[in-house]
Amino acid sequence: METKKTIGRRSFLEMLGVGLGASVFGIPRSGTAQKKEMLLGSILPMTGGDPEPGYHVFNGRTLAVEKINAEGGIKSMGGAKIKFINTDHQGKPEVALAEAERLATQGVKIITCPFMSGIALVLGQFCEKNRILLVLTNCVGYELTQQGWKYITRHHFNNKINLQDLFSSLDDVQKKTGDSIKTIGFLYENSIWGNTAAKFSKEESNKRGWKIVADLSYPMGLTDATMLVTKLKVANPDVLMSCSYVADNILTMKTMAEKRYYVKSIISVGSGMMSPSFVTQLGKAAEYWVGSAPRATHPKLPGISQVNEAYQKRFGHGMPDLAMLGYHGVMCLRVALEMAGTDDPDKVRQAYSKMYVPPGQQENHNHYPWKFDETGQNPEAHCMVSQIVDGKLTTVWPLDYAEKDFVYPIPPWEKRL
Amino acid sequence: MNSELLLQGIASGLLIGGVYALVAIGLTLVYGVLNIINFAHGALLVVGMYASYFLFTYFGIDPYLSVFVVIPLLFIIGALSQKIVINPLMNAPAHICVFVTIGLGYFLENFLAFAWSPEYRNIEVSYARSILSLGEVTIPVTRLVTFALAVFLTLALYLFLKKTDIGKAIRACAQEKDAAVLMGIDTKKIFAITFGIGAACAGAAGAFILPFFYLGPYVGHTFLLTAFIVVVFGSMGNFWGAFLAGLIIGLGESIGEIFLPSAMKEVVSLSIFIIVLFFRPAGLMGQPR
Repeated sequence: METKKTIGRRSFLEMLGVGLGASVFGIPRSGTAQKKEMLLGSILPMTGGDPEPGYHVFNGRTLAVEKINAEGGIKSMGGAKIKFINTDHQGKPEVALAEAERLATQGVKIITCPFMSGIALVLGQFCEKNRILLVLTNCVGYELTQQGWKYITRHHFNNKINLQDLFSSLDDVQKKTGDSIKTIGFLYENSIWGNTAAKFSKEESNKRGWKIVADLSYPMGLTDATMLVTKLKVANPDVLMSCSYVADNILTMKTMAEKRYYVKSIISVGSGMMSPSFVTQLGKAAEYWVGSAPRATHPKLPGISQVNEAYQKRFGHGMPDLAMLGYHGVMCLRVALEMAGTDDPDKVRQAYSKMYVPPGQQENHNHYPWKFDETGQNPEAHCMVSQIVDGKLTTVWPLDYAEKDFVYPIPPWEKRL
Repeated sequence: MNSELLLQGIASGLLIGGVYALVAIGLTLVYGVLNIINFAHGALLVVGMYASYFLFTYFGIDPYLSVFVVIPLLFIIGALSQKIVINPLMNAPAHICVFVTIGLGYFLENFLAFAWSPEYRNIEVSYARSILSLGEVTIPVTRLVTFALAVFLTLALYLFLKKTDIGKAIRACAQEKDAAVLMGIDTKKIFAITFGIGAACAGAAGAFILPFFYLGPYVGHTFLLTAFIVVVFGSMGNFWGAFLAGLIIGLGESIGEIFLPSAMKEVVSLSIFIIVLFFRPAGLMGQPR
């Protein structure tokens, strides 16, 4: 005999009460999850061919995370604390990809870094396919935001803006000194970063009618720069554009000093110039190199001195420019997370599109605002052109921010060594 | 053809070839005797560079003189590494020893990065900018000294192996390990000594290149692949072969760079490598086909 189970009125009312209570208080609704901790991914070069920049970016980023968490985390997400899962791409795209896959399996929806543009290109494809937001905190390759990807942002300048600023600084210095530039040479590493630097350098040179007398690319990881420098010596350009990672920059500079290779100015695209070891370790051989970088110590940048003090206290030395990029990358991401109220990549990406943070607000210590166009690039981001003078990076352009005059043409080796 | 480029290419090729030979000598010795491809060789070179760097920075000892400390230090590190880590696996398949040396290399590099950060370092000796000018060709003194020391080290090692009892024992183990045991040679001790000598050579190479190369925990990788090519090219286990091969590879790269983009400079040197191996599969000093 079948016994039908019936639900009494009391049981029904009890269950209804429990259900209503759970839906109001206990069950998280999509988009308003109250997380205690938010996992973000970080892929940086911590070992391998060029780990020093990765180390500085990591430190800058760490300072930012500690500050955000100490101030209560992401408030619109119920005070969720940021926690980075740190990985090392070793300078290898296949390792970066494997790490990104691992991060994805751990539920990470936002990945930051990875410093090398060639690696970012590989990661960008993965992130786009898997709906993960790639936040570039220190990657200037122009093409990265030209792929039509939705899930990519960059708060700082790209190669194109970088080169435009460098060439503009040369225009100003020519007018001031009356010493005109007629020829230019290029020396660059042959990944996407160096190749785009060369491409835009050619465009800028052609606009100005400068003859390109040397166009030398090389693979990262030089054992000897003698022939490159000899070729430059034979070509004899007025100005040299250099785009190299730190290690190759150091070797090239040493070789130039050995061979007494003279050029009126060397303009360097990021990386090597931004590393403290380039300035401190090379000594007089590095004098008068010109580079483009954010400046972690410029007196006119709003609030940067406090950040520097905090960095000094935390890590025992002054804040390198590379660390500043890492710091700002995370602070800019914080703004987007606060606006979005979630780590959902689509909502965070939308937040970036709507963002406008002027200099001096919400931890933006740059001389440009944070805003983002449809490609994910900050079109207002510019660099500061700096020159090594008396062993210190000194801003020489833009002129409103210049701490000293741009030394051009640089003195011959006999007066420098 | 610009004569300055060509002459400088020849000079630079020989000089960088000397560096490759210097790095490869210890590697070829270890392979020749222990039959192990030592992937920790680059890391041992870097340990030598760091030792030389600290001796220069804190005690003012010139890198070329620091070898009197670096060589014994690296010998001890190498011998202990062989005894503790590699010796237990000597009878295991060859790929196991390869993995062990890779692991040893990772350990050394990351220990250096952990202890002293991955920041690049550089020294400035008083003669760093001194050059020898021969017409259009400029030769940095540091590289010339390193080349001379490469020749000296190769000769010294050759004489050591030829004339000393330990050297003869090492050669005996290289020729036929079982027979060496039967002759009363303590092969375990000889293997440890050989690995120690290989490590000492790597360390010496590190000290010799420090005056003109930057220092970082991972710079060993920059030379390691070329060192392997030099070892194979020169016939495994043959010092003079390694020296000659180093020079040929260096010249090939330098002269290749005159005519080709830098990214393709290895095309010339590796083409020579392939062609020679086709006719002499055992390398330059091996038997022809």
